[in-house]
Amino acid sequence: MSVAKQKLCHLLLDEVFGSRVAKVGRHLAKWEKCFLADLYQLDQPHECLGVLINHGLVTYGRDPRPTPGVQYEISLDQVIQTIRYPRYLYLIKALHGDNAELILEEVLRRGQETLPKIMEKSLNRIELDENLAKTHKQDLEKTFQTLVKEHFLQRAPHVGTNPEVPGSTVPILDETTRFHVPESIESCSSIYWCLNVDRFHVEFRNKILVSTVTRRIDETAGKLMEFILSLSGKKLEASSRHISITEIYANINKCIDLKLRQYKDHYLKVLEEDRTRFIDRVGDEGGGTYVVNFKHIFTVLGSAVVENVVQEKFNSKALRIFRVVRDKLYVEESQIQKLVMIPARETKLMTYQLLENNFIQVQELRKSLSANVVAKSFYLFHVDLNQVARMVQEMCYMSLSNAIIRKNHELQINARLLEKQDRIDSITSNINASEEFVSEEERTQQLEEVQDMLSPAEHDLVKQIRRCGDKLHSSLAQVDETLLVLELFLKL
Amino acid sequence: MAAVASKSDQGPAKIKVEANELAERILALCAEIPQGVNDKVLQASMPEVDPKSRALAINHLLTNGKIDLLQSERGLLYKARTSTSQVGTIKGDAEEKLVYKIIEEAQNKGTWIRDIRIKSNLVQTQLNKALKSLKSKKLIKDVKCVNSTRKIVYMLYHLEPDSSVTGGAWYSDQDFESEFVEILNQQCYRYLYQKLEKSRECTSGPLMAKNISQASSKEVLQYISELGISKIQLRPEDIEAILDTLIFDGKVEKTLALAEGEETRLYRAVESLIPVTGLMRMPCGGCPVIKECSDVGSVNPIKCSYMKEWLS
Repeated sequence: MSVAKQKLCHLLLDEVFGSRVAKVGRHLAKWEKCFLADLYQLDQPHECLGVLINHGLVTYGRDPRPTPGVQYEISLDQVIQTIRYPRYLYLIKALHGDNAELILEEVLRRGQETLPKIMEKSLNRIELDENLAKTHKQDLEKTFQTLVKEHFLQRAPHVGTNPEVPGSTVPILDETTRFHVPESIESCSSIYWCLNVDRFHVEFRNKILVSTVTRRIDETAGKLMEFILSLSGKKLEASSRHISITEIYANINKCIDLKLRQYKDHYLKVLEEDRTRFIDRVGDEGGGTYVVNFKHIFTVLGSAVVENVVQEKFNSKALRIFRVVRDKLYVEESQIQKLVMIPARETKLMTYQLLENNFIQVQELRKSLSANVVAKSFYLFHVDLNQVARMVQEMCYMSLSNAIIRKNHELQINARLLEKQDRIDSITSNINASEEFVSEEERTQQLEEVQDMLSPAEHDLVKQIRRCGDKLHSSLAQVDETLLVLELFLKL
Repeated sequence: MAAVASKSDQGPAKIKVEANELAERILALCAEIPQGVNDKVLQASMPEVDPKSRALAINHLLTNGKIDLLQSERGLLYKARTSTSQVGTIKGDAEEKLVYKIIEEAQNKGTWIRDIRIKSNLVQTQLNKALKSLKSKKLIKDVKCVNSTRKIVYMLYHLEPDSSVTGGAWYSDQDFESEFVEILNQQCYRYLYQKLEKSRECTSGPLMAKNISQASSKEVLQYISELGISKIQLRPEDIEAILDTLIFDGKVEKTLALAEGEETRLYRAVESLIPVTGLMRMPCGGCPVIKECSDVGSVNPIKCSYMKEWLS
């Protein structure tokens, strides 16, 4: 549990749930496991814990030691995922439409919620908000069913007694009914639904792979990869299930891409032969069986991210040295110099810069272990990809924290100005909506007056602050993208 | 054999011919047994020859440098000299010959002056004199070694220095020509990238496109020589070394293919797997002081000048 990660979690909790919850979160992160009594010094610990538990960020269990009470534990990885909430919403909107977004928003807001409540809240919002299209309750329910069927939503683990530990209350998740919506709505009132984060990550993962294939080969190959991935299952696993060629062909024949239909064998071969091994042929039954080895692909992608970092942080020569060391596994300095074809002095400089920044490691091999002998030693350079990836992950955490801090700072110092702008905006919209004005002229005159409340310099400043905010927001999303690739690489 | 013995009685002109013949026989025997032959073996193989003329022939061979005399536990051994040394042909005193021999043994790798001194057991002044004399006769030459700036190695005049001494095609006067390498690197990539772009227009399937984008090292070499960038003639190995650097850059991939029973290396340009990753699009990714960045102190995100520059 690193400092950077804890800091980011605190900032995220502060942003999503407010400062009270953030404080409880920080306390939990600091002590790993806490009793409720430990939190009493904080403000409203019960409510804050409730919020965190509802969102699945805090788990609890009874300590096996004979101490009274239940211990609470925060999962920082889950907290960091809150940064992806906007992306989840965007994805679900693209896949299943506005209604799905509405439902998901309600679920995200509550953490977990029963079906009747979700319906009620969504319908209320539709009625209040003019911009939303009117829909029937049946349609909403249908969308909800689809979301569950597609595993985007799941039943929240309900609290029960664990038969193995007498007297304990632990969350129990029933695998069989996890993605099942009961027929009668009445029985739904006690079932809570929450997000299935892994399912969203599967979609993100597939998107990354399709864009990689498109970049590497061409669009048609990307399309083929999409078909194959759609058959690969809804779980986040190291390797997909076996996919037979007939299944893939059946999918291809449905599409209208003539090029893909004509050269389907060729495209499969190209995907298979690529160094990244987008698909692996595992058997010949039924004309050929393939699997997608996500673990391998994300190892390649993870190292591509690390390489990218090396290239941008240093230069392309450093990247060359880095890749030589990685390819040769263990290599001496003189061997590096021979292979990279860069002047010896520069090579040495870059190699040690990489070493200093922990992108490559050095391993000393001594001929003799005794200290007093003038022992000959070999110094071998090598790359520990896992370690480097974790380091880059830390960098991501830090960058995200910095972006959030900077964003909050920009908003804070210009709070008064932005408030003013907001007021002007609301007045403007009121004027536009009202029907009191007799003539258009009067209306425009009024509007101009309102606009003059801010000087031209202030107008420019507001624009600039907005631009800053957008830039920081988009970089948050971009860094998160890097983080996701690394996470998948380290997790799978 | 009896005929040969009877011939030895005839006139002095015949004796020389016979001595030559004998020398050749001894040489053939030595060549047959590369471990070396001793006196007894010689005697047994040619019992009819009297020891005196045998000794004469051996001396003749030794002075001509055709065989070597070696000491072993079995007594003296005669060994045919494998390399066609020319130490016998040079004029000069014994020291010069000795030094020449040592330098000759080092072949095109050259030998260092200290090694010569140790091997020859000569004093520095004597050695210097010998070297100077040999140099003036254009029998040896000195070559600057690429590994260390001050090291000079000696080798025979007519030899082409080994690439470990000169550093190969990439060195001129022991300087690494990084610009030359850089240009070749770029041009090789350009050639392969053009092929990749051409292959994108290919309409007969992805496999065909892939084949079009590939090029063997020979094709690349031909393109480079036609460009006329290089003053020296590059060998396929040289171009492969350049292509290897492109592989390490992650711009090119290598595949091995069998063509006409011969293994050929095929190279093709590839797009990188990912565009510039999100982390590096933000100043924090490339920040040199990110380790010092924290809430307290002068390095923090609020005061950060990189951030300010980026946001403005």
